[in-house]
Order: sequence, then C-alpha cells, then structure tokens
Amino acid sequence: MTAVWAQQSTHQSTQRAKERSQQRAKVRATARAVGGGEAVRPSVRTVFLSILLVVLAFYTEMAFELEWRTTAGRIGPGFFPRLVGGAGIALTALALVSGLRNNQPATTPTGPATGLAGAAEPDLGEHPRVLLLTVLGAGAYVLTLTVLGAVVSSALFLLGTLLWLDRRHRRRAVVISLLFPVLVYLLLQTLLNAGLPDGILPLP
Amino acid sequence: MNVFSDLGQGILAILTVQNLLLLGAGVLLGMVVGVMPGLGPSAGLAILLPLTFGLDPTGAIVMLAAVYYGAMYGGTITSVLINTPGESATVASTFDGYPLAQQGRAGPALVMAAVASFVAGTIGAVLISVAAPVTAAVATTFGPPELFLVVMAGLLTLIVIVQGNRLLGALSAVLGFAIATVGIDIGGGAQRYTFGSSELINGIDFIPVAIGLFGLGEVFHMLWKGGHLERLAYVSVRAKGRSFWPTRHDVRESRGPMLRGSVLGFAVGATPGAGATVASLMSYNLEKSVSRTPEKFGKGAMPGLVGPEAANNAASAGAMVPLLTLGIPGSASTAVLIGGFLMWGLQPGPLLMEQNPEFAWGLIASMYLGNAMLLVVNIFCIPAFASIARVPFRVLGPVVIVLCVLGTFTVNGSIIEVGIMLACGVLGFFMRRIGMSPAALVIALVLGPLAEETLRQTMIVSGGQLDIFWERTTSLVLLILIGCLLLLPVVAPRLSRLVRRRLRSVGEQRADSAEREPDEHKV
Repeated sequence: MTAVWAQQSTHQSTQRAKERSQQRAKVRATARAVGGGEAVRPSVRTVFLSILLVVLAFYTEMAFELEWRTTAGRIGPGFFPRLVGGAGIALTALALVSGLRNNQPATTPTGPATGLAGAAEPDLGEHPRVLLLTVLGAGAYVLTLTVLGAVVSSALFLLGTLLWLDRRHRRRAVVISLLFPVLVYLLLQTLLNAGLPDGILPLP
Repeated sequence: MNVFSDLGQGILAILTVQNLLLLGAGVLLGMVVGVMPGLGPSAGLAILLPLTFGLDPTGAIVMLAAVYYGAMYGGTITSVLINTPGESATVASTFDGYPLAQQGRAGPALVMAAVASFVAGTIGAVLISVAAPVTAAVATTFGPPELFLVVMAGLLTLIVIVQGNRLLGALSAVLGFAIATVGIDIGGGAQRYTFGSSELINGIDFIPVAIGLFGLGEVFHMLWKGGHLERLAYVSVRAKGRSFWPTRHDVRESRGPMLRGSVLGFAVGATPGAGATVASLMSYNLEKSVSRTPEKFGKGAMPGLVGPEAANNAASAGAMVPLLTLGIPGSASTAVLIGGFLMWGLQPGPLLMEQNPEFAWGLIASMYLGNAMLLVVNIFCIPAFASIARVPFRVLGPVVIVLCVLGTFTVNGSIIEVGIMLACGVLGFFMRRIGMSPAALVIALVLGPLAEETLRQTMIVSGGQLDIFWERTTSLVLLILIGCLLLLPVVAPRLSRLVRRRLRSVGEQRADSAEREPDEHKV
C-alpha cells in the first residue's frame, strides 16, 4: 500500500514538475511574442554571462595593477593575466551580444562535458528547488566537516538527502547513511592514512 | 624492433603481484564509477586520484590506467542496458546497443563491446609503441615558441572539433587560463590573485576543480533535470545460457568495424584536443556509410556498437601520444592524468621517454594489461556491474557528493579546497546549462602554466618580438596548422558532405555486389 502510494506520489510530482516547466516555457514564449519578454526576465545564460563579465572585468583591473614588464625588461607578472583578461572580456561580451541578438532560450541542452546532446533523455522538467536545497545541504556538510568529523557529517548529509530524495525507502536510507561513511573512512583513513577529520567521534 | 622490446620490458616491469592487484582493483573501481549515470572516466579519475597517493608512481599509474579503461567500459554498460551513456564518448553506443538489449541480446552486445575494447586497446598499445618514440624525437627539437603554439593548437582543436557553441568553448578555455594564473608568478615570484590567503599562494590545484566540474557539476545537473525522479527502463542481463554469448555471425560482422574503429580512433585520439567522443561518432558514421545494410543501424546492428566501442577505446590510447611526448592532454581524462603525473614529480614531455623510460613504458604496458584485465573482469562480472546500473540516481547522487567532498579533503587536508570544489560544482552546473565546456576549462587550467612559461621564454628569446613565431620553420608549420584549424568550421561541412557522399556510394556498391552474388550462384 505504502509502495503504491509512494509510486503515485512520485508520478504526481513528476507530472507537476513537467506542468510547471511547460507553464514556464509558455510564459517565456508569450513574453517573447509580445516583445521585451527577455528584458523583463533575463535568461540564465544572460545572467551567468553578465556575472562572468563583471568577474573578468575585476580580474583584468587587478591584472593592470601588476607589472607588464619587469625593470630588467622581461615579461612581468601582469603580462599573461592582461592577455587572458582582455580575451575573456571580449569573448564574454561577444557571447552576451550574440545570445541577446539570437534571443536564445534559457537552456541549451548539452551532454556531459562536451556539449553533445544526450541520448534519449526523458523530459522530467526542471527542479531548481531540489538543486538549491542540495547545494545548501552540501555547503552545510562542508562547513561541519572539520567540526563534526568525516563520519558524522557525511552520515548526517546522507541521511538528510536520502530521506528527502528517496522517500519510499527510509530503511535503506538509514542503512546507507550509517554504513557508507564508515566504509569510506575505513578505506581512506585506516587503510590509506589519508588524514580525514575525526571530529566528535573518538575514532582510531 | 626496439620499441616492442621496450614494451615487453615495460610489461615485465609491472608484472608484480602488487601491480596486478592494483590493476584488478582499478578496473573494478573504474567500472563501478563508469556505470554511475553521468560520471565518466574524467570524474572517475579525479575522484579516485586521492586513493593513489599512498602508492609509488608506477603502482599509481597502473591503477589509474585501469580506472580509465574500467570507467570507459562502465559507460558502455549503462548505454546498452538503460540507454543512458555514462559519458559522452559512449553516446554512440546507445544508438545500437540499447536496441540490441531490447531484443534480448544485451549479453552478446556487452561481450562484443568488451572484445572490441580489448582489440582496440591492443592495437592502440602497439601503435603507441611505434608513434610515441617518433613523436618524442620530433618534439625534442621543439623550443618554447613551438611548445606554446602546440598548446594553443591543442586547445583550438578541442574548441573547433567539439560540437556546440565554439565561442563558449573558447571562453571556457580562457577561464581555465585565468584560474591558472592564481598563485605565485613563476617568473618573478610576485603573488597574483591570492587576496592575502596563504592557501592560494601555490595556486588553485586542478583536482578540486576537476572533481567539482566533472563530479559535483554532473550530479547537480542531473538533479536539476529530475534525475532523482527517473525510473530506469532497465534491460536485465543473465550470464547463464548460450544467449549470453555472441554468435558466429556477430563475430564475423564485427571484425571489419573493430579494425576500422581501432585505427580511426587512434588517429583521432592522437590529435591533441580531439577525443574519444569525436572518434566514436566518426566511427559510427563510417560504419553506417560502408555497411551493406545501413537500414539496420539504429535498430540493433552489431557493427554500430562494435565500431564506436573500438574507436573510443583506441582514442583513449591515442590520447596518450600527445600526453607522453608533448605534455599536452588531448582530453579531460588525460588532463586529470597529467595532474597526477605532476603530483608524482614527473613532467610529461619530450624528455619523459628518455629520462623515465621505465615509467613511460610502464604506463603503456599497464594500458595493455588493463585491457586484458578488463576483458576477463567483463566477461565474468557483466551481470554484477549491470546490477549497479539499477541503483537509482536519487541514491547515487548523495553518495557521489560524499565521495567528492571526502576525496577532495584527502588531497591536501584543506577545507578551502573542498570549498573551491563545491564552488566549481556550481560553476560546472551553470557551464553545462548554457553550453560551455568544463573539459576545455580543466585542460586550459592544466596547460595554463606551460602556456605562460613558454610564452615568457619565447619573448625573452626574441627580445619581445612576435616575428619569432614565423621565422622558425616548425613554428611556421604550426601557425599554418592553427590557421587551418580556424578555417575548419567553414570547410568542414562541405568536406563532410563530400566524404559522406563518397562513402555512401561505396556502401551502395557493396550492397549491389552482395545482391548480385546470390543471383550468380543461382545461375
């Protein structure tokens, strides 16, 4: 009964995510059709490239504070960063302009690492909330790593994320959360002496 | 044949019990990582690199070569069984691999893919043994201007050949160069972009960046597109019964594709910047074009799986040529490997084969033995690894995050580096979303110091004059090559149409002759 309910719940959440995604796509399309939609809500690409442009401008400004040539007439520490910064600003500006001119959609579906389209990937919608909470969870995990120790912080992170993402299998989530960090600790610390933090547990 | 005796000695040198155990462990771990959706050889190597810190350089490289091949093949298992390529190099394997599995032929498909990988790996090892010393001999004549231009040509190839937005590819490479400038300037000792932090004085290590971009970035991307909700359309595979093994017909029709894929893959892989993905897709197109039955492609044709598999494996071997002889990584995975070399105090380049022959030949030999081990492990353990592919992403995702965090921490015991890794994970997610290339960033990060150093030396030699680049013959040749690369996007579509037309006519001629043969027999 629980399994059926959970299956239905997963199915429903997939459907809701799809519907939300479709609604967002519709809103974007309507906004584009009436004109000025992208100006009202800039695409992820535009926002990301704009931030990158600011970062690169800051990088280049700092490069100009470094010497172009040393007093001995050799290439200074600012030579390469200025070239890189200049090229970075030019490329980012070009990408921004071409993106705005082509009025590209917010997402460019790409495969892993190369920009190739993934094969037969099902459309399950977009899940920014899941992503944001996972990133925040990972951030909290990193912050507590040295305080609580590798085993405890890893176990807490796994327990939290698995109970949330894999609600159908609570027992499995607990078992993985307890066993996996211990196994990794044994491998990295006990076997390879890798120097993981012990934290609050008096581990060997 | 001196080269083969060197290879033989390399094989003998690594044939110790410890190395064989490391080889087996590397293949197993690589396959485990490879079958995890989204994690390919580059992420696998980056995450597992810390495991090798306690080993001697030869043992470490033996293990990493095994991880490399294991992860490569692990991607094939997911491509065939769940239609999800573990990484881009195995995208072509889904085209015919999954239809074969749907027809109940997952066993033969996986066995033939393993055999193709082994054959390609063997041919690759032989070709490296011949090509690497020759390339190293040429590369010893290179000065700073040539090395700088080789770095640029390698990055340009990566940007030009890889499909997608070239402008964003170039921007990714520039970002990698920018990150590489953090730390002490090698020439004058001035601090750059350290903001007073002692942790940044030695620069940003490439391992947190690689783990973040490839490992964490992929997990974030999968979560964003709903990987945690995905219900896998899994095709089971059983090792019992004759249906697990390929038929004679399978073997017969796979011979040609295997050989063609191996040679093509090696040639493409040896080109700095062009990698296994390009090789496997080219091989698929080639096999479809020359096939007597092109209509079967996409519906479960064994040559459509075997050719790309051989090509991606041979390309991985080919990528070792620029890595060992020029110190130029041809792919994201070899960029991680080069980072490993540097950590063990080995400088890949023209002199590596002269100064550390036992290491260089040990690496080539371990690649060969890694392939042999892969074949043995695969044949017996396909069902076991296939079951890992059934673990849903909602479980794997958090587990991979833990591995990324703990793996990064073990490198230098630095929590700042773990933070950098997390930041790079977020960066990697956005890079994937807008079509940038994390591979180009990592390769540029590894090559950044080399590019800066060679450019600085060039400017010192020439007294700040740029004409040194066209006054020296080798530099001029490289400049012309770069010019050709820049023209490639314009010329390539026309060239590709022409080649496709020619290949199609060859395929039609073969099909005609095949049709005519039975008629003649009847007569």
